[in-house]
Amino acid sequence: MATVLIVDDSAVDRRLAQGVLEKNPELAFLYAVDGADGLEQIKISPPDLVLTDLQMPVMSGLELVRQVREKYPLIPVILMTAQGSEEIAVQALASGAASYVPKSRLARDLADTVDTVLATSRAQRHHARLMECVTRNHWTFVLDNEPSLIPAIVDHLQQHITRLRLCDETGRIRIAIALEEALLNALYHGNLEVSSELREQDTKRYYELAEERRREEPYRSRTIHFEATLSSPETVFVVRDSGPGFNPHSVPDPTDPANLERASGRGLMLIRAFMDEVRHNERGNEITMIKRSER
Amino acid sequence: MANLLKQEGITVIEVDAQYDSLDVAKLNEFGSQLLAAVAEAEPPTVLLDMGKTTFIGSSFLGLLIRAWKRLRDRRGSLALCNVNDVCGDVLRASKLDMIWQVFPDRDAAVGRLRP
Repeated sequence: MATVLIVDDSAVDRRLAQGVLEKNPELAFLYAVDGADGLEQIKISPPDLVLTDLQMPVMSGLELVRQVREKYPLIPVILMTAQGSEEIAVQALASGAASYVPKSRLARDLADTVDTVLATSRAQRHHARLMECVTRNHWTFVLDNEPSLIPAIVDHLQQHITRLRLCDETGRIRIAIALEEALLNALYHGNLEVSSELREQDTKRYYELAEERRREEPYRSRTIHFEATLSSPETVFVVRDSGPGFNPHSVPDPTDPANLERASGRGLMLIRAFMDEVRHNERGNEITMIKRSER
Repeated sequence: MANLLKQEGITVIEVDAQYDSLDVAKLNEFGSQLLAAVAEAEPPTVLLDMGKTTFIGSSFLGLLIRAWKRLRDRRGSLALCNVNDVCGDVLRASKLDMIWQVFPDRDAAVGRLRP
């Protein structure tokens, strides 16, 4: 049994819409007289679908669509539009309405539209519920030396860290900073072998040289092998570049007063500050970073 | 990336976009804006308002260090305000909070820094 909330300031129109849909014995109905009333009803008893008029006092159907999308993203909204309001209906679709049906075609189109939207939304709810059951995610990436991939990967993993509820927002951002630093080190210092010293002296030349090397061998063929495992006990990132490696113990301590004025050299320090455990392989081209869950 | 304004004689730079990742082009653009503002600031005191900044990394710190050194050469100073918890952690971890003043909000900063 699915519940449909019919929102319309006209009692006649509410009855009309119900009349079309009540032929389906699997539907039950709730009612509201405008958008604000509709939101109140949803709060008390969330329906499976909202069917709303567009033009209403207090809160319009368009505003109702926006609010439902924001607060109840898994509840679809179908708009009923009077003649001449198709432009607003398009706006509403852009704001997140699932569909719209002109009031002049309720008898013909409403039942099928409701069936289709309910089926899609049911599948989405099941998927969302399934995702809540995921306890561990593992990815393996092999990246080329395209810098724009790094923010994309960091964003991708942040979304999954949030979904798995591994830590609070601050913890998530700290992990993101550490990961970004590790991937940037792998790309610029590892694969492309452009040094912090060059960046210190001439930032423009640093990025120019990196761009030149991205197109030349042996740098062009080098990749970054990245594995990420997200789970409740711990999050583990392993970043391995294809460069010659380095000695992590040779990096000057940027917090030493003698080094505070250096413009570079803080990446590894931030990784160590924000992850619980950091290890390097012997060659110095692989870093393992572990963050234990706060849950 | 940055809005530039003057408040009670202090040059204020609002980092307006969410600085949430390293995009080389954006970083370089911000760096150019920052260094240009630093060169022109009179008096040579610059306040960075980080109110819209989600997080910062080592590259951003590098830019700030360059800007700070140029201000220092002009006997000026760099300060920050509206720094969120994570950005504060970055500054503390790098001990750069020891060389730059970090204020809770812009009014407090301007109050202390104005000539």
